[in-house]
Amino acid sequence: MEYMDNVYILGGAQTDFERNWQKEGKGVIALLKEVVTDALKVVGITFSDIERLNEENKVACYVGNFIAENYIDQGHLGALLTEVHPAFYGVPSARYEAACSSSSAALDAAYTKIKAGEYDLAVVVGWELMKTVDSKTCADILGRASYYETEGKDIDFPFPRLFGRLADETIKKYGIGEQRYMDSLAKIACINYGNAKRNPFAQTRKWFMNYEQASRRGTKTNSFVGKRLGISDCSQVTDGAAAVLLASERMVKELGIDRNRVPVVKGYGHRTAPMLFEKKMENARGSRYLLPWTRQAVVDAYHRAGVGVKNIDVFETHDCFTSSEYAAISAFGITEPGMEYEAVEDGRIGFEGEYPVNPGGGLIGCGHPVGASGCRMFLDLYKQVSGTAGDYQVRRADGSIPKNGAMLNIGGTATTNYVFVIGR
Amino acid sequence: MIHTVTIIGANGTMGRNVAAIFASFGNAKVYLVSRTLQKSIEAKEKAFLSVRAESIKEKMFPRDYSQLAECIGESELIFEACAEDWKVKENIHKQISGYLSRNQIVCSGTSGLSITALSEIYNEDQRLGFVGMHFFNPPYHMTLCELIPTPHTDMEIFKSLCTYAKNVLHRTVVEVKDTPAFLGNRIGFHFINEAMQTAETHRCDGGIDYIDEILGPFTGREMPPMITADFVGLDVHKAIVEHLYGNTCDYAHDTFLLPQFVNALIEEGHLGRKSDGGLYRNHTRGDGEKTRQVYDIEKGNYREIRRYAFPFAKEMVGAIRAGDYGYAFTSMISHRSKEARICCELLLKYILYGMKVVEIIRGGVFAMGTMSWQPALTGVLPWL
Amino acid sequence: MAAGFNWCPPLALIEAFGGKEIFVKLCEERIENSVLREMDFKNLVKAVEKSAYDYRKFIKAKL
Repeated sequence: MEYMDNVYILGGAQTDFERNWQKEGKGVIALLKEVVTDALKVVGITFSDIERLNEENKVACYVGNFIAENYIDQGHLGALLTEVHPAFYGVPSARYEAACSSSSAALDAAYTKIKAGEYDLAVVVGWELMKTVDSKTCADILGRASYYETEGKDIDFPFPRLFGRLADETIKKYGIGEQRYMDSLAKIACINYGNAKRNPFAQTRKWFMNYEQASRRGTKTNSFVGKRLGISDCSQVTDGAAAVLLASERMVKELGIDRNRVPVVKGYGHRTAPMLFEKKMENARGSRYLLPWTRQAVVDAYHRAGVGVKNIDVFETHDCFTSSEYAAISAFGITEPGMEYEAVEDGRIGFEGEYPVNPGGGLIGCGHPVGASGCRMFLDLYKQVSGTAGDYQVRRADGSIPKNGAMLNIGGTATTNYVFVIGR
Repeated sequence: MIHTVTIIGANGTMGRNVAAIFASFGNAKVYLVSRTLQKSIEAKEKAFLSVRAESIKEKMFPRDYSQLAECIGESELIFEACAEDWKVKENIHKQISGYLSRNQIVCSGTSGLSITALSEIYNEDQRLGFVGMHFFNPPYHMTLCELIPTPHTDMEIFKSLCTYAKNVLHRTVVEVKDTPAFLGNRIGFHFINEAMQTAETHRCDGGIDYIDEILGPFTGREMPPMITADFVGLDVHKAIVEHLYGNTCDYAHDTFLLPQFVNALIEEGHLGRKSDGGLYRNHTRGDGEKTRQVYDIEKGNYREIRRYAFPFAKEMVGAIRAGDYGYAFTSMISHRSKEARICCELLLKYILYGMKVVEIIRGGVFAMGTMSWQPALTGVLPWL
Repeated sequence: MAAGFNWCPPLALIEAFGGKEIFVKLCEERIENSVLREMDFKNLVKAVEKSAYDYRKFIKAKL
């Protein structure tokens, strides 16, 4: 019975993150209808199939969203799927929240239920509508992902500041020199913007960025946000949704798909670090890693999947800011901690590199609709290992498509850390 | 490889925006040439804003016509973005011709003049590298780039320019035969002019704002057609449709006849947004309140705009808001009101003309993906 | 038309109408026969393929 508790990934869909749903005059129901309809179509499952599975109580929905309560005055988000189609009447559904890793929490729940044999099909939807408020209000709302009272409230753009602090601490801990580190951040921005050019869903696919622009912070077109980072170091606010379908062994058989060709979830890691940034730094004093719980989540996932970094052919990481991608390089094990700049400088993490990170552009390139990002990363990894990533498909050195992929989705200042390893 | 580009007419909006595209995505050294050095300097100060990247300023070099020979001597590509006037362009291209030496590409960004006629200003060898390269405004957001070869153009040079525009400049490249207004403008201005003609026909129902509300954002564009015409400029609109009327003869020929009321407005200096108003205008009432007015074709004066709130439109918008696109269009199709029928008919005609124009220009079209001849409408122009 | 005007492209609008069959039927009902003949509608429509664009983002929920 070795296949019985495999959790298969059937595929999914995402919306175009360039779109401003507010300007289109459309709300959350239109967003959900589109992404769910598209995901079902891609996978070849109909609403009637959902109804039929629901008669046996074998399908469930998992919604990832950070803070629709503030953005669109709406809660009870699991139940909203009943507005998408009557097929969802009676389908168990709930919303999961872990700030910017909300849809990873949803994926985790879906994965667990299928692995336990409770359900055969899970519809996982991550989404966020953020363009309903102005940028200052938006930044303030996002402050709720930190400890708002002391880290967010009455502070302009709290998250860029906090990730600027991460940059400060990185420079301090490893003594690599500020110039070299900031240069690496600029290069990371360029890699992500460059990769986004191949991605038809990326928010920034028409935008311009080069090293000269990214490295000159404090200019009119790249102003500082906080004291250290520039706009080029930040992912952008946007609206978007991504949906993924997970299935049991039985479901895969029913669909007549060869289970050997379908990617599975091979492992996961989930660790919650101290909430406050300063406490994280204190807690990390004895560790080689600046974000030891982030590293631990990766270690746990690799262990469960029975892999090491050398078995991973493609990575999706949470580059809410360039400083978080920088830290992820060692968290994944691509380099030792303190040596991340090597992987940036030698092209290892580039599209054609040995350890391609964010081949579709990451958060900086694609945009970061907070509740959607985890699901979008998972979907992009699925596309890579199933060879369906189109223009942004990476290939291994021998020309074959990736076998295994790993993603790191964080919430807050790497407070929640979710890692998934998927593959064939 | 294109390392250096000379933009002639860099002081105009399109000239400086195109310069910014070459300097940024193209990473090229760009000479900005205008009638005066001061104009070129001003262009440099504005250009970087259009791509939101100050770093490109150091790639731009303001020049005037006295330095044209040196600029051209250094450039792999020369781009002419001067006024839409045959005499002006003829003069410039004659000058360029005198300074070309090796395998250089010369492009004109003209939207209305014949690329072939312009190419014949050059000698036989030089014509091999002459191509029409029509950008849309603003090029940072509107990535369409129509590339127009002439019967004299060397197709290897043309293919490599297409690849460059697509892969380096990140344009949405469409290869088009040298025909009036090429592809995008021909389809777009057909729609706008037909809307104007329909407004005239329905002048007693309300005319301009009546038709604009029937063709609102729920029909697939941000701005209704006649507001767009004001934006573009009624004089520009007139020039384009008159050119099309005089130089095309397909089934939609008469839809390019400019309605008389538009001519009258132009004659009175009402050109749209660039002047004090055109089909619409902003107005301050006696009591100081600001209102929006529209030209009433029937009465021959301006009046306050009306909100018609057509039931078919409200029903469509309600359905679209909830993501029920299918229901929105079915309800419009089956709605018995005059306005729903006008909407449906004009949209069908837009689609039909689009299809027809593609067929008309099929004579010289390459498929971008395969670089081989293919009949139109079979994946060649998926952008349509 | 998408990349030049930010308008819903004509072929994508066919999908908004419900697809090629519905579009053809509508044209035959609503457009004068003489016009359809002059444009050689029957042959024109034979070569039509699906648009590469998704019409949904162009159709706004605004009056």
